[in-house]
Order: sequence, then structure tokens, then C-alpha cells
Amino acid sequence: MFAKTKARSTREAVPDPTPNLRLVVGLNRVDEILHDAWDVRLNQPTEAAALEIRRKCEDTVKRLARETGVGASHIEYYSALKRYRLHNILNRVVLHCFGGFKLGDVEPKPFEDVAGVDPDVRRFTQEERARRAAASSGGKPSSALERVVAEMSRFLDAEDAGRLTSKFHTEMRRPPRVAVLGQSGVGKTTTVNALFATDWKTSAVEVGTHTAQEKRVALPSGGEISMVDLPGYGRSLDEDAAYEAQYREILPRCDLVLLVIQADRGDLADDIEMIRKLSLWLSAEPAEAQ
Amino acid sequence: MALTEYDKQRVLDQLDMIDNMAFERITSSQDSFERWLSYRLPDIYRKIKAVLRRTWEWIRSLFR
Repeated sequence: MFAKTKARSTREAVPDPTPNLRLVVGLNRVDEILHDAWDVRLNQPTEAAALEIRRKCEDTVKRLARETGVGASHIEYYSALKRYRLHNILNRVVLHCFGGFKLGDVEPKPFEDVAGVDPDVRRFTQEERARRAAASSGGKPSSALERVVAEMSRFLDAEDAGRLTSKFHTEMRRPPRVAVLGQSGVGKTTTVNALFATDWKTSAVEVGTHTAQEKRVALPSGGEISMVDLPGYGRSLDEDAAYEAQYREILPRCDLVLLVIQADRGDLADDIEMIRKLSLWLSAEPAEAQ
Repeated sequence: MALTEYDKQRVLDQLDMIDNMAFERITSSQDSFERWLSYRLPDIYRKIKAVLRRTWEWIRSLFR
């Protein structure tokens, strides 16, 4: 891994107008934007479709950024079901989640382990992954951060070094609290499980209920994540008004809100309104856990 | 069905993109850590900000 280096995408070249906003907007289901776009054997869009998906999604990203004032670095397109561009959205999560460095070791579910992929493609991909891992000299991001904290302590007096080390290790033990939000059926559960390689289940009791559910989920990369599942918006004005009180109470205490939107949805009015509200609720840093 | 050279190249391209994103995650983690530190321990952050920036470069070199 990490064999190649590349400049950050052009979206990072533009200063983020909302750098402290703990929000990532995911445009899911990009595989459904075009007909006959997907090469099932390789589990990738065809070359022509990839360009068209990119063009359409970049247009949507620009529109959402323009109409909500949220920085474009908070918005990413992907397909949870096809496990396409999961690493792209994971980077947004690590960047914008408060304490998101704790998610730096996460590896999304591999794209080749999806039904329909040619067995030869799967074998070739896994062999290439193993070859790259063996050739890599890099370690885990979390161990690199441990080294940084130790190195920084040398430049501080004993009291400050102790405070830094203590606060860092306390933070590392605290599971990130991530709320997932979106209209019904947009793929919130699939997104979470593909992105964090988890087996998060919204139980039969929880499905369709109108209250928030919080559950700690083990991360295969180590540690846990605290997932907050919220009732979806956009079904009726009465329900939205009732849910908004819950959102306002719960979301400001979360480290990140992951808002999932259907990429091919033409009418984004409800989602745009929600992003504007989230921008207001999530602008301050979360209170420190006791 | 046997893989063609075209199939192999497309898989390699996909893995290259994932590798680039994994490298970019190092930078995202660093930015996230710096934001966390500046909020949780602002006095310490002010003291080590300059040396921290230099250290990020060293860290990135470990992953190249």
C-alpha cells in the first residue's frame, strides 16, 4: 500500500469555507445513475460510464455546495452496494469527524467480494493486494500518530507532556460517535457496514420506529464506533417537525453526522434544507466527554 | 472466463486509486489530529504547532 503518492484532489485546493463542520454528505447509489453502466465481472463502471458518473456527481456536489454554503470537501459520491469509491468517502469521514484520526486504520469492505465478480478477477485482485501489502514499508496511521505524540512530548515540559499523553490516550479509548441520517431507503445501513467493514444491524424492533437508536459496533480494524441511527426525514411535514426536535438534541453531541442522499434523486429540496439546518447545529465542537 | 490484459489493467487502476486514497488518509488523519489538539489543548498546540508541521512531513515519508 501507499506505493504511489498523488496531490490531493482539486476540491482540496479550494479553501474549505466550513472547516470545522462535522458533516459529511454522501451521494450514494451512483451505480444507478446510468443504465448498463456497470461491468459486473470487474465490479466497476465501464470507462465511459465512470466519466459520466463523475461529471454528473461533480455537478451535484457543486450545486449542493453553492446552495448550502457547505465546503465541497464535505461531499462525496460512491456506491455502498457496489463498494465503489468507499475509500474516498472514508477520507472525508476521517477529515471531518471530530477526533476522526481514530478511524484512520479502518479498511472498507473489499470491492472484489461482491456477488457477480468473476472468480479470476477476485483471485487476481487478492494476489495483487497481497503483493502490494508485502512491498509496503508503511505502518498503520494510528501507530504513526502514537509516535508523533511521543515525539512532541520532547518539546514540552513534564507537566504539559503528561497532559498531552493523557488526553490523547483518553481520546483514543473513546469510540467516535457517528450519526447516520437520510431519507428512508437511501442505503444508510449498507453505507455504514461497507464503509467501516462492520456488521451493524438495525433490529426488527428498531426498523420503522420513530426514535433514535444508539449502538456500539466493533471495528475489525480495532476499537469500536458508536452508531446513532435516526428516523428518516422527508415523509411528511408533521413527522419532520417531530423528528427535528430529536435531531437538534442529539446531533450536536455527535462527532460526525453522515447524511446519505440518493445520487440520482432529481428533487434535492428536502436534502438541501436538511444540510442548511445541520450546518447550523454542527458548527461548534462537541462537548468533551466526562 | 480468463482475464484479458484490459481486465487486469482495470483492476490495477482500481487498486492504484485505493492506494492513493489510503495515502491521502494519512493527511486527513493529521488534519483531524491537529484540529482536535487545537480545540482540546490550545495552549499546548500553540507551543508545538511549528514542530508538528515539520513532523507531518516525516510521517508522510514513512508511508511513501
